[in-house]
Order: sequence, then C-alpha cells, then structure tokens
Amino acid sequence: MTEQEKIALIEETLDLDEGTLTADTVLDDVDEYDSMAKLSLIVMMDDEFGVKLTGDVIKGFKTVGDILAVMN
Amino acid sequence: MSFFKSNGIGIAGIACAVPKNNVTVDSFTPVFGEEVTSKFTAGTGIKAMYKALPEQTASDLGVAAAENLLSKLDIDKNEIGAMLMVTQSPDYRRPSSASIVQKRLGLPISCSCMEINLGCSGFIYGIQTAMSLMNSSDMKYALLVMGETASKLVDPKDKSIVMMYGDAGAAVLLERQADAKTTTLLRSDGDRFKAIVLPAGGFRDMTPTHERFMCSDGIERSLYDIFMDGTSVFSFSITDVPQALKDYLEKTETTAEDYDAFVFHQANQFIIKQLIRKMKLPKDSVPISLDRFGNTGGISIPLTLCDAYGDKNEGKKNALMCGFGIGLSWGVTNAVIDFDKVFPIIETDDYYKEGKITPEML
Repeated sequence: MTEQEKIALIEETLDLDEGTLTADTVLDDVDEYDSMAKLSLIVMMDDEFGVKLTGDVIKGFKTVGDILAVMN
Repeated sequence: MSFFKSNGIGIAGIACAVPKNNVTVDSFTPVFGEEVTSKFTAGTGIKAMYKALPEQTASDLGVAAAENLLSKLDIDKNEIGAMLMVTQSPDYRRPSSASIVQKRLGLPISCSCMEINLGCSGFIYGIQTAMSLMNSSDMKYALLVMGETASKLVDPKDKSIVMMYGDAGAAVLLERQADAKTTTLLRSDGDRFKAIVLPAGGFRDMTPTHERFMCSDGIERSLYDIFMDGTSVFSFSITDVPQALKDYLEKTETTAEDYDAFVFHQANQFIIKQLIRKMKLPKDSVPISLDRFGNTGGISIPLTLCDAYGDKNEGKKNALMCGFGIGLSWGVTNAVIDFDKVFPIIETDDYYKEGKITPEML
C-alpha cells in the first residue's frame, strides 16, 4: 500500500474528504479527530494491518505521519 | 488456561431491579450543550439510565431482585447452600455486603456467604464460582446476588462518563439440572489495572487530596472520581474480547450457529457492533439494553436477559454470555436458560433504613 493510499484510508476512517490530509497535518488541527474518530482508527488498524493500538500509542500521535509510521 | 466445565448445574431463574429514578441523556443538555449530548448518544447508543436515590445502595437493588426471584420461584430458603454477592459498591468498608444481604433475605446460618469484588466481568465469574461451590458440595441451590451504583462515583461534570453509568441489581438462582452443561472461560490482566481506576477510598493512600486536576483526556477530576482510559478499554474490548470468544468456540468445538442468543456486557453500542461484525453474529440474536439502562457493570448481562426475554415465554434457549471490563477482567460462559424463568425487570425506591449506622447504635 502506498503512502497516498494509507492517507486515503485515514481520511475515510475519520470521515474526511479525499485530499484533506498530508503526512505533515497536525492532528490537533483536525476537528474531526475526536474520541469517536480514535475508536474508528483502532478498528481500522486492527482490521487492515493487524495492529493493536493502545491508548498510550494513540496519545503519542501528533501528526498524520505518526499514524502512517505504524501502518505496516 | 482457565477453562471450567460444569455438568448437572443450571440456572433456575433470573430477576433484576432498577431504581425508579429515570434520567435521560437529553436532561444533561443544559449542562454540557446539545452537541455533546447528541454526540454521546450517537457514539455510545445510550439515551437514558436509572440512578439510585442517595440512600439506596447496591445491596438494596440486589435484595429487591432476589426477593422477587425467590418469591416467583417459591423455593425454601433453607435449601440455599451458598450466596455470592458481586459488587464494587459495598454498603460499608467492612463487613462485606454479603452479610447484609444474608440478613435481609433471611438466609440460614448453614448458607455460606461471601463477596466478589468485580465489575463488568462479575456475572461470568460469579456464575462460575457458584457452580464450583455446588460441584464440590451437596447443596441444592446457590444464589448469586449482584448490585452496582457506579453512578454515585462519577464527577457530575465529567461528560465522558456521567451519562454512561446506570444503577441496577440482579439475582440468579442455580439448581441441580441433570442435563445441564456449562463451559466457562475466565481471563484477567492486572497489568492494565489503571485502565479503569478510582484511586481514593482504599488503603494505599488513606488521605488522598480532594484537589481537582486536569487528566490526560482534558477532563478535570479528583482522586475520588472514576477514571477510565476510554481508548485503551475500547482497544481491549475489540481485540482481547473477540479473541476470548474465538478461543471459547474452539475449545467447546461449537460455532455461532449453536447458540440462540449472544448476550454481551452493555458497555457501548459501538463495541457491541464491532463484536457482532468480528464474530459474524446474526444481529437479531444480540439483544441490547444499554439504550435505556446505560452501562450497569456486571449486572448488564442478566439485565439484558430480563429486558429482552422477561415478558416472553420462549422456552429453553442456549445463550452465550460474555462480560469484560475493570481489572482488566473478562470471561465467557454458556447456559441453556429456560426463558420462562427469566422475569421482567422491577423498579424500586426501597432501601434498608436500619442499615444507616449512627453513633448511638454502636
């Protein structure tokens, strides 16, 4: 999966229009990145990548790039 | 692995009680605003809950459920050999509420009574412990009584959980049934004990500060309030819990088709939806009660059974039940339950007035 495809997957998970995010986007600046969005992110990472996101890992996410780093 | 098998012991009946005070999520709109309350309902599925009176305790709710159950089943209390109370909201620091419940129900001295301090997994652990006690004795009946008033432990300004917890009590009677077969899986992970924690009131810190502080989720609390790391608990609920369900099906050599109903702890509708999806369950076989009762901890499983089947006469059904939460602690069990003996939920404002101990009484 390319980086662009991964970003598109994050956009879909957060219910955002395509092209809204880049790897440098600061998550605190994204209104839609709320507690429910974080739960959707947990589900997506588990389903698509078999990655179990803990609360501590999510708290460490500052930019979209931080999420991309665990999508493998 | 903690797998338990129990043959010849089954559920004789189930009853539940809630306080009369019904509180809607909408009623919090003046405090938190419409956006917060509507988002809360959309995310959790919770629209209302029942909250106990200030004087009403978990044991009052458990006793109300038990009195209703024992009168409906019309059994001789002297034949109850064990009573287990499951609660995290005791009447006193000591003795345990098991003693109070024994007195109030009029259970005989020959009945062994004790308490299990567990929350959302408490029904599964309670059933298994009661079955184990029966397996190693000749008692005719064992009674499981549950009660929870978690709503009293929440900061009224904590928008993350004040609209989540409902109060309730439950009672389950176990009896000898020749053809009954139950398998139970129990799991626990103390490494994650801080995921849901209320620090004050125990003996680790006898003089905790009442100062309020900003938590990592941006909500102000004191050490006397419940703290829940929502994302970690959610992650646990959609990974460890389905894993336990899969292990259970594998161990019992059963599939989803072997069960008529799947009764899950009512934590959050989003979690239940994920469990349905991951386990590929028929949605119609997964009853929901949290929309009207909130999260009632360990009582949520018997409460959901009483809510969904209490006024229906559907005969015997095989139910797969799964509780998970504080501890962290989780478990899965099954039982062929006669739904004719699962009774409608009652509402009560009764409480044990003599239970309030004043200096002149000592």
